Amino acid sequence: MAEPRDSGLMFPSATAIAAAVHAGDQSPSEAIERSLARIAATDAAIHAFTDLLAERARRRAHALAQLPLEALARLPLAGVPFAVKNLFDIAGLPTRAGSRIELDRAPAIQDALLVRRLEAAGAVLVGALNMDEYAYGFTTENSHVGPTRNPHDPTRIAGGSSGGSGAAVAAGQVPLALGSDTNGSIRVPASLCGVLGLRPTFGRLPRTGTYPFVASLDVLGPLARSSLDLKLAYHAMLGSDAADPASLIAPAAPAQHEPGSGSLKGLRIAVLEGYFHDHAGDQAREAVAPVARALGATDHVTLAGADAARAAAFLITNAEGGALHLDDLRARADDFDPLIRDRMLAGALLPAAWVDRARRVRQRFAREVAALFQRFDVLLAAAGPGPATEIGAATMTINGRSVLTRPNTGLLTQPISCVGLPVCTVPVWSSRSDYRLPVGVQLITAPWREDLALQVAAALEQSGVVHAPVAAL
Amino acid sequence: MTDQTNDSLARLLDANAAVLSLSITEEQRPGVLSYLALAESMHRSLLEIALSPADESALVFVPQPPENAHG
Repeated sequence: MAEPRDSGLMFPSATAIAAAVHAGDQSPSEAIERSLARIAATDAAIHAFTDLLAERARRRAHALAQLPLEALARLPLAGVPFAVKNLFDIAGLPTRAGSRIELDRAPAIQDALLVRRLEAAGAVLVGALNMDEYAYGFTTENSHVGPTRNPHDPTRIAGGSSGGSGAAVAAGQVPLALGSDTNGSIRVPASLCGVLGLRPTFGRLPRTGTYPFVASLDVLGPLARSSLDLKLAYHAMLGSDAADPASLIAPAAPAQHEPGSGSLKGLRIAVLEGYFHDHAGDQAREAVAPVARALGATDHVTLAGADAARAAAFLITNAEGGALHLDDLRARADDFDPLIRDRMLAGALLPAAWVDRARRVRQRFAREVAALFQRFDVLLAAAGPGPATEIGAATMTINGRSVLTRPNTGLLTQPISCVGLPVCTVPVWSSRSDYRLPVGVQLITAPWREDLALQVAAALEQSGVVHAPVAAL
Repeated sequence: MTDQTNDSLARLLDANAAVLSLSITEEQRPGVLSYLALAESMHRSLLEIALSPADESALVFVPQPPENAHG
């Protein structure tokens, strides 16, 4: 067993921090100073942060510390430090979105809506996190500011595009981070960094005040080291917003499967095979097995059309991304990250008929997936072909085949996000000595059933199959 | 990928880039062509999915009430 352990005392969860603040055992300022100290001690090794907001965080923590305990008790995230992928607006900073180009724009006037909601719940923003430029990648090998490194092995990638978010949580710098997921950008870094990530249903959380990538696919969500922390943050961020029309489709009140009910009895859980088996390497396949055993999942099902859904997601992403940046591609193409520039240029040139067909296939596939959810409540699949690859690796090997790393890291996440499904990704560490790093497993549910995904994640934590230790840095 | 497809993609690049006033430099051209080829292969795979006129795209326009007006 290669994974490091921590007692939970050195690196308390968001839930534990809030509880200590509520009880008067810890001040918000102490919690923030602890986070800032950990960032100072470890960020040179992993480079998760692009912007540190120490003074803002200290002021905010001090203001919270002035509140009476009764007022703090009403703040579910009281004193919890958090950080956000740098595509979230932060008042006073240009919203980088991983680029050099956006640094020339005016600073944001106010924080993104989800940042405001977390702070209204008592959390304290401590900084902004590295990402692939414009979220177009799975590795966070950002050419402008350098790569984010995997805290569990700094020679390897943290995944992406929310790589800074996964790394900051895995390094114990913050117990909670926000990311975005268009094709897998929360699930891939959660998988490779050994943390949990919640990708809500498309439309569930408003994206107001964030830099878009592919408006028809983008979602925002939290990464943390426990399902309880994910749930706490997720509930604090719920609610539609008129400025993001996609959020208006969300049911007003999310379905709740209260943790008190605890039991998974009655839940129909199946393992996805076919495409999801064929594109998973040995370690990824082996990560799904203990999860299925712990959940008593013996059914195996094939999701017909997964390969087409992946192709549709690729085309929609390529076209919307290219079109969004057309003005800058005309005026200053060489200011884009070389890792995405030519892909962006190609996307701007795609025939409309190709993209429209991709959108129609997407809708067709969504109905086919809906039929599967008449039979099952939760579907299981690996979150990627394997564990983190080395930084700079152009190729990786899956089942004896050498394939390009960057286009294929999201193979197992893209068909799921193509149809907007909620997923909680949980890390699985192998007992095999040659598997030193974790691989995530996707807990996929029907639209709007994030509660089920979180409930299953909690059960897996209780069973010991899933845990997210802080890296020994 | 046939030579004919490669030629078609090169002509697509030249025509669409001209219409969009997008300059593709000689340095960028091989990379852009390789991504166009990848997109073309993705599109070709979607042609195997039978669609009817009832298979609409997932685009839904959302009318905006006065309170959502900019400014």
